[in-house]
Amino acid sequence: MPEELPIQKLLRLKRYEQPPTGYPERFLAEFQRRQRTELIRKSPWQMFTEGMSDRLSQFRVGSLAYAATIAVAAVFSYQFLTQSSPTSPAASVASTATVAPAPSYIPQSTGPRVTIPGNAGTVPVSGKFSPTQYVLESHPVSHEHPFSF
Amino acid sequence: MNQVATNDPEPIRDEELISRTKDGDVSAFDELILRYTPRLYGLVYNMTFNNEDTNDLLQDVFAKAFRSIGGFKGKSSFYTWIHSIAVNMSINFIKKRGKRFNMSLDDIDSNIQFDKEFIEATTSTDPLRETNLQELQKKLNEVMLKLSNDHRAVVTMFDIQGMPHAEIAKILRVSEGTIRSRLFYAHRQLQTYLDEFKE
Repeated sequence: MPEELPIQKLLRLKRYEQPPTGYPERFLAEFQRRQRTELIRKSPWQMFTEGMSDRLSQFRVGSLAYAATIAVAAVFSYQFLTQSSPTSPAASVASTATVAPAPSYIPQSTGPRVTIPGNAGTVPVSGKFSPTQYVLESHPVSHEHPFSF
Repeated sequence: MNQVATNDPEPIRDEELISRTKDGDVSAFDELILRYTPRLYGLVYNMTFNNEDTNDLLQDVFAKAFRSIGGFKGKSSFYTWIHSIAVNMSINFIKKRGKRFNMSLDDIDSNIQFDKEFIEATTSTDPLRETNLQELQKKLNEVMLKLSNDHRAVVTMFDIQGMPHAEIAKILRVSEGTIRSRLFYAHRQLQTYLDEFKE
């Protein structure tokens, strides 16, 4: 261990230095006054941000990393659960409706349609003459008697 | 069985005062302020060498401690905890103040004094020693004033506060080698100034 210099022995004397008599009491009175003044002067937002910065300053890298890992895990869990959970009947119907193929019997004409009285169907109208198209039933018509015994 | 009443009750332990403060008893924190102001005053004063700055900084130190006491887990003593707050805030203050602040000998007035018990213990046999002690304190303050902020901070923490190299290095975020180097040059500088006074 290196030998202590005379100056170091002298500096150690400064450990016994004290503020003047009565200073702590005056200091406390001033502290209380300042705290009250700050309470009046500061907005709730300022107090909130100050408190938050004090709390954040206490965090260490380890606890921050721990918190970040938990946050990431929570996000992934949420995504996993939302993807794998069964969908509601309404949503199921909606999704089926969107993917269902368009019926093949709808005419391809994009012109306006007029309704013909006495006829169940509609006829597309265009500037040019176009032949009448009939809409057929989706199942074949048969005049044969059904085999019912 | 009756207990003997004593005039000198046991001082309340820090842990209890902290617990009461956390529970909202503000007067418990007042007790902590009265208890630790004298010790912290010496630390901050020897780093700033200005009474007004010391007072303002100490106010900020206790205000920060009060706001953060909820996060104090008790892994170290309360003094160690608030001491580190005071050191960090003093260092930041000195850095901000930089070289704009020109200290003069008027700043190192006699507001700070040696502990009365210490004076009684050291001068009881020789009253003349008290005068010498006051003179020595003045000289020490004068030579400390000539150090740079970095050197004075290291001397204050190591020689006056008795902190180990490793802890100082951690607070100042420099290597232990840098701390030892700063101490070496600061001691040499201080010794030279004191030798000049002797002559």
